Amino acid sequence: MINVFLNAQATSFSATAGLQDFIEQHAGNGPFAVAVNETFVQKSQYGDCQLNDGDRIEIVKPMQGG
Amino acid sequence: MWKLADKTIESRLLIGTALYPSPQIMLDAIQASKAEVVTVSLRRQDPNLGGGKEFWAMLSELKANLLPNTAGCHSAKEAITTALMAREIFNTHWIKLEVIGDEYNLQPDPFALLEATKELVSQGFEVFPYCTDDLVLCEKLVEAGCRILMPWGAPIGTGKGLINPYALRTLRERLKNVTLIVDAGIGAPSHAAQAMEMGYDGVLLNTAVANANQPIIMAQAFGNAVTAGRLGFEAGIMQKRDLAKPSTPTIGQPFWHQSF
Repeated sequence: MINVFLNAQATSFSATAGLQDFIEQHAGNGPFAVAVNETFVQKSQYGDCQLNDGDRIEIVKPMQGG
Repeated sequence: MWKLADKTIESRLLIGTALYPSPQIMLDAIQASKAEVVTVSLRRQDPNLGGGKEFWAMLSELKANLLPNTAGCHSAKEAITTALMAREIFNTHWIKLEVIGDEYNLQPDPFALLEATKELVSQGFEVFPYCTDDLVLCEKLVEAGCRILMPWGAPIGTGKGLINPYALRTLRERLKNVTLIVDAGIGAPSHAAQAMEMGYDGVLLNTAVANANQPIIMAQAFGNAVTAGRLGFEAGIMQKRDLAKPSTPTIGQPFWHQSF
């Protein structure tokens, strides 16, 4: 297992799984976008992105704004 | 009709989607304003904040042009990453670029703003930078590829109106071919009309409508004020003068210079 941060909350995750699996577990319904360590990851690249211990993953959704 | 970037639209009012008493009032107010461009943002999912799938459904109902923002970003890197995420989610290359430099008055950081603008323009974005009314900064943003600038009227959410009309007039005078939109600080419909009478191409606001006692009516008021201000500009506003001049003809006035 590795320890990563999802939206600043610590969580553990299988060391052999990648971002694609992580997203499937955590993104939920509706549109979203992802950054790992403050770098945007396109949807088409999820399968190529391996997660490492200490990675900071942000999953964001549409929100009201001014 | 007027051209905003690659779109031709009718309304010159751009409106935000935040701070309304309820999602339905947001929807009704935006429709009442007749705005065709609405600002949106990205945030971590939090059931207490609204947003997400339900908000997405309401946006679809509006059928407006979406202008995602990078609100809350404090560095060029954060703003660039947020813009890239927004492009994927909202499927638009428009971005309202905000990079905050001062937490107290939410003043944009001109240096980080310019840095982020250069990068995003190179990646194909239509950057709508939220900037101060500094002429040199605005010129640099245009050099970096901005066709649209959004100088503040006053700090975000203050409702103070146009606190530096001289600077805003100077921008209009000097940047004739740039689309100029006053963004932030507008509190009353008269402030919006003032900006439009100066020849600004549009006005972007949120709090003044969302925090009104009656947001839907206030949205209508702003829509009308923006239209009135623009028509006034197009019609040509008279020059001010010091001496009074009667508007009613004096020739033929009864009792004029009558002597007894």
